[in-house]
Amino acid sequence: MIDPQRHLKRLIAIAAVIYPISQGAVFAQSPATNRPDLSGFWERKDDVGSGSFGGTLERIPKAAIQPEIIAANREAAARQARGEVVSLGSKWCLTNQYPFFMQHSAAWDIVQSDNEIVQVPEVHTFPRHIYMDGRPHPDAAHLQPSVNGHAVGHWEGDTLVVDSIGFSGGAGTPGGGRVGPKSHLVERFRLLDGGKRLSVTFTWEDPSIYLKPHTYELTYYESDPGTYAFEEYCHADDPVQSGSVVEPPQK
Amino acid sequence: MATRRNRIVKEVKDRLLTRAARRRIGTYRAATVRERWATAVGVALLVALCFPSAQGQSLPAAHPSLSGYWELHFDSKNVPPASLTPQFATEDKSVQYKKDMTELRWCHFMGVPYSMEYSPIDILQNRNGKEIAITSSLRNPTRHIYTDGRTHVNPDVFDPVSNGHSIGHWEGDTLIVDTVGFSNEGVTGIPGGGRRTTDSHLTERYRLLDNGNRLSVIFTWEDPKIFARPHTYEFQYYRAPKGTEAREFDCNANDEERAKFLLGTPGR
Repeated sequence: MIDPQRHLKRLIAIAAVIYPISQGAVFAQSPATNRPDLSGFWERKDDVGSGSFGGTLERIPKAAIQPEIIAANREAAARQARGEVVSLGSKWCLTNQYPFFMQHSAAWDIVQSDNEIVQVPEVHTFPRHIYMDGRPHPDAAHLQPSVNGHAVGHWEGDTLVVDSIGFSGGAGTPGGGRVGPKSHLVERFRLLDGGKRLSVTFTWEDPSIYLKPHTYELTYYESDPGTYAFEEYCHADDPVQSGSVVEPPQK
Repeated sequence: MATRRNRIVKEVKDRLLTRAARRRIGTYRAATVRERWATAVGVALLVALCFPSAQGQSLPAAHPSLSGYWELHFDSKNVPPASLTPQFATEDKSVQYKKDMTELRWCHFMGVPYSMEYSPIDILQNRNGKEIAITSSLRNPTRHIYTDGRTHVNPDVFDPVSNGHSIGHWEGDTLIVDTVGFSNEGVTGIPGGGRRTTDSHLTERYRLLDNGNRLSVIFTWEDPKIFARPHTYEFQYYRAPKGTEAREFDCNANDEERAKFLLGTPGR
């Protein structure tokens, strides 16, 4: 006869050895082995709008921002309404600043190695490097401002937490906020629906812009298998492109 | 007589005892075998529960990891002169030079092979084995090398791009990358002579050397309009120091000074 109690005790003892190994707790050199696999192409879908993404972005809560930023936004809107040019970005194919591509309709790709994760957009900008090797942000004297900021990440359970500083600034955020050189962004990436969707929760902090942290969530859908990257066409010497913004005659 | 009887009784008792003991031992052995089988089944279930990746999902085969930042040094390039077709060899090279400068001036994507001559490059090898990305500090599209077994996209539907369409597979410890679908955009000059065209076919062989401290990439270009025979050269990249980070070298087409430097005029 099998002694069930003794058998159970033996299995519990074996489980106590196997489980930590499976979670990477024993083999310190491969801590990332069992992390969620975020890799692949992800794209936004306008769940609540007509496909223009306006519906989705309009549901994002309004940022509580400093009065002077509100005034500057109103002034820019008024200038635009009068027909003035407020941005020459499309005319000159200027580099898109983070988080622009996270709101764009084009798919973006995550490539995930053990020590680094890269987000690869199709729009005119740089890939975004997230360092996963435990390095800290550079100190202020060595921090080089960049369009994607300096990003370091770590895992909290099944959630990738990314901390970014060092933005060159100038971009807008959904909800009416802005990105400035002093902005601090914390993102939480988490797979949903068995890996078919990816939730990214953004929290921006910057006392010069926000009255309180500005948090919103965007959800991305896994692209079809076989999806491949395009290269966005934007040539500033193409008359069609350079004609996308026509500067009015100066008085 | 009594002594003989006693001896026989003792012998019988011993045999009976032995038989009983044997039965007990046999029962114990059988129980032990059953318990071991039960333990083995339990352990197998535990392993399956603890290592879900072993269930159904196939783990990528163990390949060398090329991931990391790689630098070109002064002795990195081994580039013989290309053997060019007579038609291309007699082309006016100043036309090519002017085109390259114009592409730089207007911040067009540089593409392959220009981006592979930038230093450092960052290689990210997806943990799931399905893709490898190569980035540089240029405002240039990232190279996507699909290693999931797909074939090239049908050229009837594929829009040519500066990096082309790359698929890769492993032959032992060597990553073989096959690229077609190039556009004419970007700096198209090829080390050693020749240029990339929409008909070009590039094969690259990536292999770690020196315990993973160097990376050999052997490039072979084929293009019947440009090369009389396949043009092969090698770059050996050195592993960058730990902590190396990506930079962003931006490009602003609205920079008048830069335009004058590259073209001699604003070039509008």
